[in-house]
Amino acid sequence: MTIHASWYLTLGAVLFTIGAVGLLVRRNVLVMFMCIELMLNAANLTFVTFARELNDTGGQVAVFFVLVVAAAEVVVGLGVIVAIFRRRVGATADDVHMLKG
Amino acid sequence: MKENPAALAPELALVVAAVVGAVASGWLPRRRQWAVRLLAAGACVGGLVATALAMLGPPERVFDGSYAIDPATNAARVVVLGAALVVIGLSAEPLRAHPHESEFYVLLLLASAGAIALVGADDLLTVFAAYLLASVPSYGLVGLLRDRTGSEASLKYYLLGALFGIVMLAGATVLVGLGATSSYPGLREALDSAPRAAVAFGAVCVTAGLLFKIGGVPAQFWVPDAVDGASVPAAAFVTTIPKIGGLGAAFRFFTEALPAGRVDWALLVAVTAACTMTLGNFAAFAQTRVKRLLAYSTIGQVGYLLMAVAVAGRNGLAQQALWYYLAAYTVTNLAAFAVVAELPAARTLSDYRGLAHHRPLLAGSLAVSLLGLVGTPPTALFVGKLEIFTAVIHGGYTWLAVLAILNTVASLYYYLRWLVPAFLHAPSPHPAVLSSGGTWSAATAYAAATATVILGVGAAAVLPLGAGHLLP
Amino acid sequence: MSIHPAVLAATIPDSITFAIAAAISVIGALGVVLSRNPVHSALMLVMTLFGVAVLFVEENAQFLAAVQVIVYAGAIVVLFLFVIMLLGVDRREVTERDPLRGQRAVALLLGILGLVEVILLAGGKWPTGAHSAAGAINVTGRSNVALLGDAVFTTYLLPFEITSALLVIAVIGAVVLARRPRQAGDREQPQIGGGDIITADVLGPDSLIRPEIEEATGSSDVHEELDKSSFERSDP
Repeated sequence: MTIHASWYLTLGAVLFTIGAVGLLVRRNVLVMFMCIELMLNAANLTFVTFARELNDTGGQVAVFFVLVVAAAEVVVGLGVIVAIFRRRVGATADDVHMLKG
Repeated sequence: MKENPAALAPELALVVAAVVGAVASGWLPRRRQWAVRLLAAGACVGGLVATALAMLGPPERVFDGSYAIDPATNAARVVVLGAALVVIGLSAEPLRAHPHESEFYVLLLLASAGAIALVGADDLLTVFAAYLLASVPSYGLVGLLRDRTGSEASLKYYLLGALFGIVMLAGATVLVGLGATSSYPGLREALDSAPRAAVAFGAVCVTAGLLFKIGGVPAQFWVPDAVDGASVPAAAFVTTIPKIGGLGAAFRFFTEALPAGRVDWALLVAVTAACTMTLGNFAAFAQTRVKRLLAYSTIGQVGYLLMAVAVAGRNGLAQQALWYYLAAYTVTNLAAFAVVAELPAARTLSDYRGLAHHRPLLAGSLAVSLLGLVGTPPTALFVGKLEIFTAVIHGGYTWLAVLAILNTVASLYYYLRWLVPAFLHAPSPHPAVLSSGGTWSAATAYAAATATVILGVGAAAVLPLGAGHLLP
Repeated sequence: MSIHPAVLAATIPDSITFAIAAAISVIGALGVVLSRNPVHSALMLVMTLFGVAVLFVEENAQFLAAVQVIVYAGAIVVLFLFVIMLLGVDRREVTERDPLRGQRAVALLLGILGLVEVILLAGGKWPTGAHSAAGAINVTGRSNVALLGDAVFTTYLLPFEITSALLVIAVIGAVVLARRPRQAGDREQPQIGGGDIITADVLGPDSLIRPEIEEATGSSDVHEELDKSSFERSDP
């Protein structure tokens, strides 16, 4: 007898919400990236839970893809940050202000 | 015949050329990177030939049903590959001997493959993978020139893209949990008896991700900044190719994955379309920089395109209208960007003063493309608008068609703000702003403007290519 | 809030493991959001990742738990820390302005979506033991890795190939975006912190880049290759 799925799903949703709110309140681009990783993890947890509930490997394969995708996305994102902020003092999103209108 | 790589020949041509180009870029001297440009153009032409062959064969589903090769996928292949060719043409001069010229073409090829895969994907997981294949290279393309504005545009594009990617993934999670499968036919069957609220939540989240690709409200924030901050070739790319993939994917998702009548997604898309076209057109009024004006104009155009998605599945007209309009919009929009690439020093509308005096042919191309975007006969978008409005009225959304017509009339104003100085005003005292970018971009502008008219005159021959049933 | 009867029905070790791992994940997640210092945020992220990895094991996904620790905690977070140290960005942040237009609205929307998801997921009736598309998880005599491998290379071959293309993009994208521009005048402000080391002449000593020689000698292949293979391709 294991824990009921709804507990895992609720935990996943809570992590997702924390990540989303983190994007709302934080201005440090790196921390914003970390919040995106949190949300990805929440989705992963949900996928694994469904895989167990449905007795289907598909959910676990999805997590496998999300992990690869997250790695690729983060590399490009950090590349963008390095390109912008290497010449500057801070890495807050407030420094991104040249394009307006 | 489950795993038949030959069925994916056009996509494979792009990916293989991209990998070869990436390897070659490490060895080629900076001034010989035109070899990669040639390779990329060759891959696009090869892909077009393979698509023509595929069109003769029967539609099929490959890779265990996760990828559909049907009229929509083939139409997407033609439009995307054609658009990639035009982008390669207009980027010859702006990128010549740039340190990252070959990487630009490599990323362009991979993003094009992603856009095609978005349309063909018949499975939520494949759609998500294709979404990223189309998105991640775009961030690189926008930030490629690596001056301040390019990097900033890239960061904004990236943050919004990552955000909407997660939202889309969350929606896919819920739908997979409800349907116990990720393939569209299976979902359509299983979701019919699933809780309505949960289906709606999942569908809205997946749509949000696709709206980011399309650049529709409420995910349109990145468009003006990315277009303004990026180089002209990258701007021409992000305003056309990802939108083709996103719209094709949305059309397939709504008609094949969601059970009819379970959730009223048509109304949701119709409202989104109305907001998108109105916001795009009204924000364009105040713009003085040409790239920003084109950016808002593309948001307006996307609104018209979403109308076809709103009536997807209601009648056979919607699909052929969508693909014809996409082809017409792509070539017309790229013609306008080719003119911008040809005049690299002209940034604002007033810089175009007296263009007709200096370069009558180029001014003619600009007039054809801008009036084409309004939908003046005999250009292609005139036929496209007629098709879409007919489909929407037949689909029961007369109010949407009326709003679209009002928007079309209003859009004439800001396109004329660009054309009037170019034709009627005296030449500027500084002729240097109208100095030429090079022969390739000029030739691309003339060719694309001509294609706009040819596509409009020959509409009767081209229209049926986008029709035909999607695979169930 | 009373304890859900399902938890009582579960075995006690399972319940305790779930409770601890869930608490670790949530505390870590809150830590990511609330830490002032990005380094602390990154370490808190590791905590959440470990918590989630434990839950993966609980849910019979042993391979994913291992990948989670190796790839996520081992590689991605280290990359984060590396960039933080490289840029020296552990500084205060201003929160009054909204630089990315509409971002707050979007995030607010996301928060609401998340709450809706909580309600939906907690209360929803989910199908269990349904017909499976990619093969069952609990097959006696077959390991988790073997089952996952089967599914990846049969049912999900196409998405797998697409992700492989994504990795190519990641490499090219990183090269395109993060290579240092050559001109020293490109910098707008003098560097402080760790940034100085990397933007000094360590990565691209100008002696390696000889555009003037290339022009003078009619661009012989040797010099062109040198030009290309050094860290920067110089601008004319």
